Amino acid sequence: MGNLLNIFITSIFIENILLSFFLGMCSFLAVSKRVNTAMGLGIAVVFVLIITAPINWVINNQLLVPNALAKFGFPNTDLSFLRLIIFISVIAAVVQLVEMIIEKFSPSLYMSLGIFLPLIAVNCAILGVSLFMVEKDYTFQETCVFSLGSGIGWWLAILAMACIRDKMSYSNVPAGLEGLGITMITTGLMAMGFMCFGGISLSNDEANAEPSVSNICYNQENHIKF
Amino acid sequence: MTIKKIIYNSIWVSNPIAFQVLGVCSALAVTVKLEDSLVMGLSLTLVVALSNFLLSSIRKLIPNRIRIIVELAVISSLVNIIDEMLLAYYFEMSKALSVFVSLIITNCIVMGRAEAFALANSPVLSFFDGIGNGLGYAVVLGIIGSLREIFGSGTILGLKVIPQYLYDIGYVDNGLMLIPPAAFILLGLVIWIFKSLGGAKGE
Amino acid sequence: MHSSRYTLVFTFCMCVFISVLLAGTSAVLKDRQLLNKKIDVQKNILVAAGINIVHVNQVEKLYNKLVTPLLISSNGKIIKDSQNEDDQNFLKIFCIGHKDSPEKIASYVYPIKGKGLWSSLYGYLSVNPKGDTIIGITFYKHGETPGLGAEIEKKWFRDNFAGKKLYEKEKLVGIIVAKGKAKYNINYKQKSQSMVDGISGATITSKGVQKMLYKEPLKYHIFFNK
Repeated sequence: MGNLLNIFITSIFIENILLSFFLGMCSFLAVSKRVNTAMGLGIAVVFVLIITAPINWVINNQLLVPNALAKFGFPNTDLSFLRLIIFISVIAAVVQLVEMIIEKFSPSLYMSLGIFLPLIAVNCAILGVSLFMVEKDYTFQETCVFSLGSGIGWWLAILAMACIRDKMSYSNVPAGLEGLGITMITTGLMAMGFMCFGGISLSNDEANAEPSVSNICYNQENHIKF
Repeated sequence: MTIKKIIYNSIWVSNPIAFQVLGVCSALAVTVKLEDSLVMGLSLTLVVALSNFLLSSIRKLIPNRIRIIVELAVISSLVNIIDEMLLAYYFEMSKALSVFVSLIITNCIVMGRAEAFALANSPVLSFFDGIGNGLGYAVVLGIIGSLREIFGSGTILGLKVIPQYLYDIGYVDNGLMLIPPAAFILLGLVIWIFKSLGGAKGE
Repeated sequence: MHSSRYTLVFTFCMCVFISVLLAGTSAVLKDRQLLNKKIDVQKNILVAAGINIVHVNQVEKLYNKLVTPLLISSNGKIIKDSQNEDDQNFLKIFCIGHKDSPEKIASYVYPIKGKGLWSSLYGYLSVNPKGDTIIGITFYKHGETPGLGAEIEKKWFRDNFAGKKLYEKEKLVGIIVAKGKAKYNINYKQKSQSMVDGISGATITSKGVQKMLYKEPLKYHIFFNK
């Protein structure tokens, strides 16, 4: 349980998918102009993430990894080369679904999101979460928590940016910097701010402890477990 | 629209990074050194041009309801096949490019131009639109890459350009340039320059 | 627009076409790719051991002449039988002969694996016959950021490891990857024999390399210290 909480908090603040890994920038930059659209897009991203990551986990672990198809009678298969395209297809399908839902329930949000709703499908953050989940070898529960946390982290970042831009509309920004320019600079500063979290370590995991050069004792009688 | 005008527009008037806000993710990640920026820029140019061409050729056949998935399928298959061929015939190059592969598939420029241009124009024009946007992207990446490499490591394309005597009197490489936030700030300044010097006025 | 039936037919044809295309390409090119990967692995082993490769054609010949792959069990015994190569309890190690007299052991090379920022790091570590000094290191697979984490595969980073000691007074200490240049590190005076320059801006990757260079040599400790 503690481990799940670690992953959750880490993915929101310490390893924020947008401000620490810089995934999901395109939509972030364009849609953060107004707080309402930012809110809407943030929720859409969370929704897409918590659906796609677990589905991708199931597909990856039950169908794609080496020898996964052994239970259907096909030993020695390795379909991991299909991983990328299947993940993207799942994400695209879910995004198409979300697009239809939003169009039905909130046409104004649909209009204001414009091209960036379908672009959620290529949002690096969404694919990134699925790929990280594979890379870090998470279990199913860890994946669910990780995707929820990453989504909330992304949502937090885009909401914060929208509020900052809202305030900035009262400032005297030079003509050329207006809009995208000042947003980039602000994002850079936000990212630097979030780097402060980088020094925080939440886990007590032995495996993550750094070997201290002066304190390494090796007892000859201990057996080494491989 | 002539081909020349398309390319000129894509680089200067509606640059994909500076004006269309596409392709920013990778612009931050790979611009630590100029060499990687150029590799990324050129690979992306190739992919956008080809995918535009392919999608434009089948544009009349694609049902509207599933067009995003079809675009993604075409783009990822294209990149996948290029990657497989590199693995078989140019192994060293494929190892160098392997990181860029996933960055290219999810690059907003490829999808963005497919939606905005290829689905409504002829294959040949779409091909050159792809080249133009890819080059526009490469130009911005090249500028940021060179600045980050010069100030962050004192080199350009791996060759030392800051003379040793400057280091001796106390000059230090700017470590800030190596971390992604610097890329954001540099990009903001580059956009400022692009907007002030020409290109489309305002948003 | 297009009718539903058309959409279904189109989708079906597209799926079939793409599947055939991708699977076909993969199948046709598989042999060449495997051969390339095999030669790449052999090349990495030779380069780690400090053997100069001028042309790719030399790799296979030199490998067959100088390299003897061995399997060792968890208590350091060499197992000549290579039938159970995939067994988790066995470790791979390669015995490198001298260029002029291949029967004499010049060095040992063993595979190393660690976690970077975005991906797992795979490489080969070459040590002297006693196992306490590094001769060379190579990384043949990783997915780190170009210019930052990816610098681990560059010559400047790898050359620093030559001659570094893994052991201090019979105790395994691993290698410390300093933040920035090693000579500015606080512990430089006492620890310079086991310290290398880090990569500016790639802290997590550098820490990953450090952890890896303690955990992996630990596995072979019994073999070298019988």
